[in-house]
Amino acid sequence: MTPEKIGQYSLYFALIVCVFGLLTSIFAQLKKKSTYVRIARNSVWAVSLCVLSAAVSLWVCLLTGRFHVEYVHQYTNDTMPIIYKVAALWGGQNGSLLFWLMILCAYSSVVMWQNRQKNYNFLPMVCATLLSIAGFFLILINFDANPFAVVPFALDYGKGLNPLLQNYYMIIHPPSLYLGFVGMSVPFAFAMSALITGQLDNRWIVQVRTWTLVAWFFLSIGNLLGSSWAYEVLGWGGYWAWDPVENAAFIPWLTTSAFLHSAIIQEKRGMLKTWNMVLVILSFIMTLLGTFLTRSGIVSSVHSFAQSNIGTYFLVFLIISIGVSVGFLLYRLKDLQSQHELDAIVSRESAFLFNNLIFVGAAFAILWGTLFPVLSEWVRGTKITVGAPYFNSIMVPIGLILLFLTGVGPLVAWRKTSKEQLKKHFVWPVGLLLGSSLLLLFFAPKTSSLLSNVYINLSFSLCVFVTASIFFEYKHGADLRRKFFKESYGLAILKLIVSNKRRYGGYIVHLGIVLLFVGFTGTAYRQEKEFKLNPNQIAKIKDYTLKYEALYPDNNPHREKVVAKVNVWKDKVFFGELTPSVVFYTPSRGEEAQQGTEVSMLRSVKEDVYAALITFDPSDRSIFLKIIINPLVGFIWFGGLLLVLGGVVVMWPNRKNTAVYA
Amino acid sequence: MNFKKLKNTQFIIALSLLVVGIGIVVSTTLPQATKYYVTVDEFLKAPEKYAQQSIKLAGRVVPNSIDKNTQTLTWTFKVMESEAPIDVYYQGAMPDTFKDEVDVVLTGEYVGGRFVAVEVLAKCASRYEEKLEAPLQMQEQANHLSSEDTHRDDT
Repeated sequence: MTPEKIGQYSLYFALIVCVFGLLTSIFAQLKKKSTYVRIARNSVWAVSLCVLSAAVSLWVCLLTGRFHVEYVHQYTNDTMPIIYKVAALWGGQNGSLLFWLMILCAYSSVVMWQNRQKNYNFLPMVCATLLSIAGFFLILINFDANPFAVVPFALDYGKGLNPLLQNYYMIIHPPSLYLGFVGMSVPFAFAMSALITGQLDNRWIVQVRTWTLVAWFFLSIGNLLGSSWAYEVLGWGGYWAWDPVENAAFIPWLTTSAFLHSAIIQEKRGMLKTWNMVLVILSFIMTLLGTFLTRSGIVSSVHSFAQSNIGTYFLVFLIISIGVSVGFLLYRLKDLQSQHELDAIVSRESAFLFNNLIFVGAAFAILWGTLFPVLSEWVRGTKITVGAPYFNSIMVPIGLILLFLTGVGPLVAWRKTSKEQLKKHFVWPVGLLLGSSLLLLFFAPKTSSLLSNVYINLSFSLCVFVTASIFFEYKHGADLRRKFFKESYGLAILKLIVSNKRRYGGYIVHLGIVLLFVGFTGTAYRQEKEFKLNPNQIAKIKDYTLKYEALYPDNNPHREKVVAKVNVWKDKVFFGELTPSVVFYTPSRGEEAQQGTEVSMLRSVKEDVYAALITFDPSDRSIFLKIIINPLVGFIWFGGLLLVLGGVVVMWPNRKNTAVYA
Repeated sequence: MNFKKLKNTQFIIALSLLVVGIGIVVSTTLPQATKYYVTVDEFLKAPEKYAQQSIKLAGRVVPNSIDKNTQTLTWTFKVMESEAPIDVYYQGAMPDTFKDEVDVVLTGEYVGGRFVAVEVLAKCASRYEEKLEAPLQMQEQANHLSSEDTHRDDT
């Protein structure tokens, strides 16, 4: 049997087992017998095995060049490096849906394994939800987006993956975004199980929090990698453009971030139960909506996806998901009452509450801007687009309020904070905030707009404020340990983190966020200029002097490259060499000619000098060169790294606690 | 009891301030950042409606219409949908994916019988969009192939 046949049959069989498992889990819920629970659970594993077999079959097809499989023909060719043949699994629509399903199955299998001896009263409905989602994808893949479709004639070549996508980011960026998107299915499944079975005590929130953290973690990585790809490789000169596809990935990040905070309040104080349910459901719905928007083609984006009818499938599934989840939520509303009320406006609960509202407010503001073209077309018959200025002008103040709360949260106590506590905790951070604001007022370089000067000042001084508040949190904890255990500072801080990973890991994430804000704020000082240069001509931007030295070819069998050599001096001291280039990829059979730009950068902590060769004239060797001075961009990547590191600390399993959760 | 009510009032005031604040920012910044988004055919039906303002224009680059001046970095080309083409003028850097028959979204203004673009977006390299046309195209290619090439038969 050929691999494409094996893959095809695996998918058929997976759908049958999936339906069987779904029925069994409903039966298990009604009969409350552990035998049925086990059958339902085993069918999740069986579906996963089938899907794995399908994915492996597709990989075999891709790697062995079975070009009469339409998908293989579209996305691979003989000359592509093996790693991109592997990545071709998520390089096209149909394959990426199979990849999505495979990740869902992997997550589901892990959940079933974790709960193989426990939570049997929860499990059937978790199974049912996960299998319903898997069933949706199986229907989609089996009936409309089949990656194993073959053409009825022989083909012995492929079109190949666009050379612009043949980059290591293609190997890691889509999978991490998918891991994040699909990851929200698991918290949703637990939330639905809690709602359906009415077991609304704190057990579900613990499972859900851990899994939301996983989804959030991969969403963060995915978004950061996407930004980095755009900046370093694609030559956009920036790292974020508020494109609908980017927004679709950012909105769930905001709602999951909100949930990760409010879940703590529910665990500690038994409050915000309904709100937390709403957030989990909302996050899941947003991943579906994002997929629907980007795959249906109803919003225009530079990332073009097929205008195919899989959008309709997603819309139907979206409506069903909203209907079912909101229905059960309303049904259980009376059981989700808070055990406590907010005691004071200056308390950690209320800081978290405001943080949540702002996260969700930001998510809706972005959603509104993203959906506006669609809504305006429905309501007024004309499509009206919303540009980056809207998103920037709304997200800057929202971001600053969030940054402020990041600093306030750790300083205020649960329930309520007395005046003495306030004084004690706030005096240093607030002092530093005011001090740095004053210093910035005099020494920070000014831009032309008053508002942006205010924002720059606020942003940098709030960064100092948050850093100070985190510093004092660590210092306070470490001092206590030193007093009781006579530890050195280094050891005390290490043990502090290990003893409360969630809290102190969370602070590491916050520190990463601070660095991100430093990087974002640097954008205000960005300078961009286009130069037309003849050989040996000199250009000046900021305190840099650039000299266009030469234009030379750099060819290999896969591509022809034209490189411009530009030397850079800073304040009359040689700073480095820039070699931006234009690349012409040699089309292999069936491929279209494609041109690319390779940017060249001189990076430093303070700023990046970013050069792109826009065009060249071979006759007189004149070039058009785009130079961008991007201040503080390095902080974004370093901050992102710290954020991911903090995420790892928070997620690191707690040996002590596993017994408690069991 | 009264004390608790006072606390609630404080929260409600703070929350409403927040919601109103976000609402004000959204409603004041949104109109400044919006532009009409029209396809070439839609534009040609009522050009006067979109005159003297920056709009977004979506269309497909007409084959062999691209003319590039590397000395001035200016481009002229035509875009069309199904009816008539529109002349486009642009000065600046082009995206790598810009070429004949690619779908573009232009930002700019219609002045003096041509569209003066300040930004050109070409569809990104993800090749999803070719999916729909592929089978027919492939069939042609394959027919063409089988007439001149020998090939292995996998099925």
